[in-house]
Amino acid sequence: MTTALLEVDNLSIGYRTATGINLAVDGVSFQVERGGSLGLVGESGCGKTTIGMGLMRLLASNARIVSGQALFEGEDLTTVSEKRMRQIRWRRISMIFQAAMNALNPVHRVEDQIAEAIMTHEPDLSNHAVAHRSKSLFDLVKIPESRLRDYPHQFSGGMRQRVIIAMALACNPSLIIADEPTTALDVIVQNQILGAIGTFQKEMNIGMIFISHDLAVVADVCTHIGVMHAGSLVEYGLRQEVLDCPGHPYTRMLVGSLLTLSDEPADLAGLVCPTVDNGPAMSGGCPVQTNCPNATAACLRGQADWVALSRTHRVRCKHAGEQS
Amino acid sequence: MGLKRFIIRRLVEIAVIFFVIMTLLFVLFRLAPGDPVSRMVDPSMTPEDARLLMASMGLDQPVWTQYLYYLKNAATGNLGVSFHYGEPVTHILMNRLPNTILLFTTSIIISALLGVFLGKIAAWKRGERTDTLMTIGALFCHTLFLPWLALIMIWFFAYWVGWFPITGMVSPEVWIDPDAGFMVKALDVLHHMALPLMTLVLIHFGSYLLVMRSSMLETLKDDYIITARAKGLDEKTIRDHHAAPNAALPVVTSVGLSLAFSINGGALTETVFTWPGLGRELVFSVSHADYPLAQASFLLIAIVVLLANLVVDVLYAYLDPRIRY
Repeated sequence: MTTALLEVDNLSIGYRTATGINLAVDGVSFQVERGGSLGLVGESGCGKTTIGMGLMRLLASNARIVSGQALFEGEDLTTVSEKRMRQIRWRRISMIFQAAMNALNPVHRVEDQIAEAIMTHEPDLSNHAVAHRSKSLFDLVKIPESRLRDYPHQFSGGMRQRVIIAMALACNPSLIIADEPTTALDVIVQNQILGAIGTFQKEMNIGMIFISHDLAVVADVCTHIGVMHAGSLVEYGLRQEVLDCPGHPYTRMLVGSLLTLSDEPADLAGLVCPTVDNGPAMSGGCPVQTNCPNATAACLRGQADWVALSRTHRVRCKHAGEQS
Repeated sequence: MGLKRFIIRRLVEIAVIFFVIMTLLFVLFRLAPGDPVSRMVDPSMTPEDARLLMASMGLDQPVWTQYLYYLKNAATGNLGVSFHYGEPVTHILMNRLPNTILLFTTSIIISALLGVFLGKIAAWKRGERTDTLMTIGALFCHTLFLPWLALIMIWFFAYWVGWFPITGMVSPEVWIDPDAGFMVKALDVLHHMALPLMTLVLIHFGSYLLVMRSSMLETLKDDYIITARAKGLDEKTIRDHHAAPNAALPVVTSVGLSLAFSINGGALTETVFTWPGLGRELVFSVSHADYPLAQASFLLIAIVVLLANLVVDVLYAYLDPRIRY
């Protein structure tokens, strides 16, 4: 096995609340290979965005990394100094944000916002070289160079997303964290953006963590899939393994909910809407228990250990061996 | 560019509003109790003299005739002769206006810059001691009663310590001296201006600080601030280059309006510091039923407020690229 680009080991991130620390991410471990892509899927509030922000050390002020480590190119992101972290941000790890958000500053020209990223990390570069790089980035994402002088509000949602992608690629990072990059785009634009992200990620050999609530989208662009629920990773494996033989009841429900042309519509009767108080810190048992059609008394007592279904596919369920 | 069309359209609107204001002013002052002559005559005057005096000011004419003359003269830039001073009111106003603009515009600009700068820092250090002290300080200064503060400032700085002159805008001996150059005269005015300026800044910077602070706190929650952090920018760049320009926009509106209304001068400030500005003239002209002077003073305020609004709109388009006309 090659050394991974990013190795997250037993990472826990908690939010301070009135009643103590509430773990939003509870002992998550995964790897991202150089040039590989991991899709993190799960419902709202399952902790997937917190993982991304935690790796960038951009957590809200009331959140902190409780335990675990994240080895990135030989450095532990959870312990490096803030100064070093600033050098790593964007230069080594960049982010693609949701375009529907105000990810671009409305009062600055997009050209200046891209140039700022480059000049912060490569201060020796001449203005001319920076301008040249900005132009070639726009070429790459297929936006006319003339639009560089425009302001963010002058772009459509899809174009703005491409500007954000161009900006994310500005410093040749080795890892990109894409947080819901296609949410709030219509399906045609979404498809274009996914295509673009996939192409750059493969051609430039960039590792990627792709965060989404949409399993279909993740299945499109990622080599690996991690399924999260209530702060825990419950299944992790190669895309094909997870999609073709999901080992966890929750994953089976997710996969079952995908629309296909050939299959019968999935029976979603067993799917219970999650409640806010199903955080692992409160229940102590399996994080999926309230949503799981297979839950038994055993599931209430502590979380299951990982069960390896293959060399690359693991699942965290007490009944993992039982199902067909 | 639609900006030119926007400005032209607004200028037409301003002209219409201005006409309405002119008419309202004319009516209002004539509805107010008392007439100019009763303030000027002394008991020894015969009714015949009083009537002559009225006639000399055109007040014996029917109101409609007066109104038409008023409009006709205003259209040619003639706003009449002050009943009290016997001088054209435009002379009086143009004489007072620069003094008011000098003092109040300077004080608003300094207050706004100070408020934006401190508000930015207060928001950045939210909840820390710096923030608490600044917010409490701003509220305290903002709620001070201006004439009281002015008197305290005069008592302390002019009387007790003796750093600044007590009243006036200039020292006559400096201005009479033929050898005094421009710099000497400018310094003399600055010396006289220091106390009223400090008083006004103390009273006004607090509101800008509070507006900037709350606006900045909102801005800091915006997504592009996270982007800026993710880009590895240092905190100072994030604060000054990404958050502050967005947060300062509401302050611009507030500054624009304050600038506009400042030309009526703080009558209180000008009175306490005996500053020869418009504010004192305004109060004087109203209380003495000096119709031409009062009308012209209010017209001047109206036109400045209208134009200042236009300037703020145009400035907004410059500061916020999302706004285009």
